[in-house]
Amino acid sequence: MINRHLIKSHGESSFRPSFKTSVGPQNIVQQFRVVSQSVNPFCLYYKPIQAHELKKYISKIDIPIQIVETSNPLKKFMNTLNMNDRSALEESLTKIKRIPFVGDIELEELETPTIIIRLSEMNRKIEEKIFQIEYNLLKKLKTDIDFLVLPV
Amino acid sequence: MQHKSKAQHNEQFLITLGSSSEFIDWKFVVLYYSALHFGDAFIAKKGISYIKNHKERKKLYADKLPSEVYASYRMLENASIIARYRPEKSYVLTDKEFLDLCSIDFPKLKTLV
Repeated sequence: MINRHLIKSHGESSFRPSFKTSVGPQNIVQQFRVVSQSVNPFCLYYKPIQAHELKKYISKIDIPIQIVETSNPLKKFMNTLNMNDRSALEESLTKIKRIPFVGDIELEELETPTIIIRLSEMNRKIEEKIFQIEYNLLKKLKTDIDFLVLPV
Repeated sequence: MQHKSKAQHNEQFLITLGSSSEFIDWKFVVLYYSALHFGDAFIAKKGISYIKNHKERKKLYADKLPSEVYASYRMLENASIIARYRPEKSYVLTDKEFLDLCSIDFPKLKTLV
């Protein structure tokens, strides 16, 4: 059994009271995310964990670990999305992060949740790429999301 | 047809602003609204004559326009948002940026109808 303070079930607000270690590693990766404090050396923010990492946590169970909600508005917003929208948005943001000159990506709650993409250098080719990614994203997404490209 | 007239009307207004940079922010805004009405005219030809808001428009454009035209529309919109709501970033609204939008992106919307 694992301490309930260590494990938060994926995409749900309630905590699982217990968890059997006999569940396969794949299930662990798919179903659970570790939430911990940044001051703690064993911290992982909403990161899917592997079975061996989980064992490490179990062995350190006496170390006080607190559950913290992320303060990042984009991550908070992502947590409100259904699985399909969330994975589509994650995929798009991963593509955008790989584009040169892309800096911070953050969320602003305007009329529509708006993802602000900061460019260290405004460049029309890059803007075009970003909006083509948005084009493909809108075809998959049920949630309303806007992209806004701004200089850093 | 009404959307096309409105688009042309806005385009005419843009010409009256001339080549001065004094009101460059408004030139970006007018260019965007002209492009928007060309886009709406295209959507009207597909049987949807009234678009409620920008949310709905964006979905319809993503659905009905080719990706490069959609990207151009969004670049025009992005610049107009900076012009209207982000004065601290308005240094990116240069004459060159305006000319690029005018000569590369705007015609993609205009030639839809």
